[in-house]
Amino acid sequence: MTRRSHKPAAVTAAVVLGLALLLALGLAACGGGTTTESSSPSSSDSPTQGGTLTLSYLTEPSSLDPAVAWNVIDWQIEHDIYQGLLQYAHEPGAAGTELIPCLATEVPSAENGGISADGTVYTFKLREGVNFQPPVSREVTAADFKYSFERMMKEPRAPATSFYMGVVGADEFMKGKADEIGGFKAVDDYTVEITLKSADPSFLNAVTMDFCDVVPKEWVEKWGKQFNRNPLGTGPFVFQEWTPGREIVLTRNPDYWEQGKPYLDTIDYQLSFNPSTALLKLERGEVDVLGDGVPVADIPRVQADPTWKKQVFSQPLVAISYMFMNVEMKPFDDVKVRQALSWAINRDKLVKLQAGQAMSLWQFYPKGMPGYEEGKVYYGYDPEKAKQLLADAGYPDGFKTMLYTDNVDPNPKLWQSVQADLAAVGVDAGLKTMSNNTYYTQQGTPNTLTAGSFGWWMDFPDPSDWIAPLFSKSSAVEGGMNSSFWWSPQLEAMFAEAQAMTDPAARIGKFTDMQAYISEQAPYVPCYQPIQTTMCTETTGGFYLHPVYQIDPTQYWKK
Amino acid sequence: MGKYVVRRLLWMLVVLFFVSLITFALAFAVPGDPAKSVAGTHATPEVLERIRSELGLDLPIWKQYGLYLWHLMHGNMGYSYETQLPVATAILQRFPATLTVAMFGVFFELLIGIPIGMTSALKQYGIRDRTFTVLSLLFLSMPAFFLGMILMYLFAFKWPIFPLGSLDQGVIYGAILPGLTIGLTGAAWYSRLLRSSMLDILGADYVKAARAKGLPERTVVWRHIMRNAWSPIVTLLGMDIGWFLGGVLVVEYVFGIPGIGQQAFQAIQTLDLPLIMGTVLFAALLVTLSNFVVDLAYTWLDPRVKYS
Repeated sequence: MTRRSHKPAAVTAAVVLGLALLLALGLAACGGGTTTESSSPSSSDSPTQGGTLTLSYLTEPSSLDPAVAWNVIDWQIEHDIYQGLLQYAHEPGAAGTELIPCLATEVPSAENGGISADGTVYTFKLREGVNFQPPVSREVTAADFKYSFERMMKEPRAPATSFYMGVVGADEFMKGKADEIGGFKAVDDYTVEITLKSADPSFLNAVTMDFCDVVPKEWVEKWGKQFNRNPLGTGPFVFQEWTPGREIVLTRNPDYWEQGKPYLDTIDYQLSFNPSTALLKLERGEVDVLGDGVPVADIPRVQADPTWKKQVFSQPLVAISYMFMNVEMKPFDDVKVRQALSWAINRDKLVKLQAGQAMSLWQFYPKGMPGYEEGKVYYGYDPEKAKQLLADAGYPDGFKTMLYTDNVDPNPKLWQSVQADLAAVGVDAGLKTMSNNTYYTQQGTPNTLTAGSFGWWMDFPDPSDWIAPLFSKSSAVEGGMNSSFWWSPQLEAMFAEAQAMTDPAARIGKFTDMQAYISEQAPYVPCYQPIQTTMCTETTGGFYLHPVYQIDPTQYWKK
Repeated sequence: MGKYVVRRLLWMLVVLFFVSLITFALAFAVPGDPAKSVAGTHATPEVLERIRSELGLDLPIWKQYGLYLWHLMHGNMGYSYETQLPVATAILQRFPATLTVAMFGVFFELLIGIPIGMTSALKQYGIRDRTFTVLSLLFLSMPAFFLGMILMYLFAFKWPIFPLGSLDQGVIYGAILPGLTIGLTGAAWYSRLLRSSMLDILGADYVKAARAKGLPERTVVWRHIMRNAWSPIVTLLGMDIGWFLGGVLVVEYVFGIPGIGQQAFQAIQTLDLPLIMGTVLFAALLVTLSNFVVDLAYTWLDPRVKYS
């Protein structure tokens, strides 16, 4: 016989109250600030040799083969190991978009004769005495650069071959009609000469991407398919080990050609940690740098915390978020409709929804991209004007349409805000979200998505990287990135003109003119530019954010 | 009995075949393009086409499936699109971490759930029963993500008793908190299940008879009640083990465990078909195997059960 308690209700109530109290105490403990010690002012700001820097990332690289890898984490690690002819100056801000020599002795230009008068021949003189890392340990010559380039172009999975199709002989090589690329010559051991079909002012940027980094033939042939897990280059750090899903360890290159560098003995990439856990680890000193940045919800807290605020670094990313409008689907085929909607979106609200981790964007180039017009506002935020322009276009009562986005945070909530903005001007838009990969595929399929979110980030800091993939005729096809499927003969002509210009300032001016023209045609509505915010520990010396490399451990030291 | 085992193993193969077929079909029904993950978002349409061809994605679907089965029967699970690692290697490399966390999860859910369930049933409506009822509801409704983060914040950060995620600082040490995250929720299930299972039995005639015979309460509980109350627990355990071994993504994500759960999640995001197929088949194998083991265990637990 089971016994029944005489006051079941009271007992249950007491138990519930007691537990609620415990939970509240636990949560209060979570909400409180972390115990901090006052930090001693850093005594020296000059680099010290030695030490291990620990960085935390959630996803591990898919590949460390420079010919194939295109994810940000892949490139971050490749920068420690591989090098190419040129590099970007290791400075924050605009200074970091300047090209400086790396394995070449100087940056080719018209003045020093490195670029021929007609702009088609580039000559690079190589540094002598640069060795591949141990155990290959032999000198790098021009033949190695030719090998690396041809290997990359021939690799079936290489994603970036389109940047280099302008090199003479690349077409025939890719089609299998030639067994080398005639336009890429190793003139002698220390001279590389590249000939293009026509002048391309962004070529130096293209050749600085990791895809053209030099790799040792014998090492690649030794490892074959496993080469992507056994990288070896000329850079300041040597690959040591990769425990899948756990960590990647690099150690200092004893044979490195640059005197006094690198400062660190070891770089330790810790993998599989989500950003919130990584932040906890950093606060305890187990991690030095947050590779994925500070979680948005924690940013206000760390920026206010006296111990941590000096360790928080931000930079605007040269990347954008737009609303595309498919000009092949009604009613976005009408330029007046597109212009109307360019007044309808509240960018400041989008910035607020991201806790200030973004900048409102009123033009097509983001800050940091040459061609950007400081302070310029094309259109603006004026819902009344939007309604009026819609009425002028023949839609006084608005219209119905569908908005799309992917399910990656923070897009769903941001695009709900856009949906509300559109509703406020009479446009009844449904909102559909889908997975990342599905979304990319659908964006590139003609006549599928009417309007929605679009994001782009730079391959290199030159406006041709914006115009060609997003606004050109060749990109307005299936599989292209021109989600609005908009192009115009006038823009094509302007672009060709700009690419033929030899005066850099005039050329950038032309790209700015293109922006004005595009804005008038309004195929997209620019929304915002993301801001990257991350943190490092006090003991991380020389920390800064680079506009292209983002995190740059080759320049940091351990205090 | 031997014939039974053979029949079950054959059925397992049938199940696995259908799992592979359905998964393959679903993966292609999703309107995404795996080549886009390999090519990157900046690749031109020509490059994209080339990579699709390289991955064999331009073949008709039935042909791709046929090729996949053919390779599978030769022990080749294919190569990941993203990393080009052999799928079997990728899964087996990550499996030990998931296995460890899963084992700790099962251990905790039994360690906590069974005694609580027993006490709750034997002293129904007592103060302990009521406390445990409330606690069970609490843990059942708490999302694993939230519970995991609280445990980690309190016991790894605020009071640094356990490591902040990962299994690097000692496997046992690191697996306790993730194990508890699974275990506390699981214990809620097991305790409720055992409680109701035992309550059903407590009113039975043979229990009254045993007590009337004058047997000590301990013997009544263990020999008569528990031996009959086990079966739903064991059934659930069979499903649980298979389920956990498939990789509990949320726990792996919170605690930074490099297991097959996180790997599968990334594979789904990038539509890495070979890795998705491999992980699903592997998980299906584990689930059917553990169910099979559980069914065999019945013959030992319950002498009335015999298989022919």
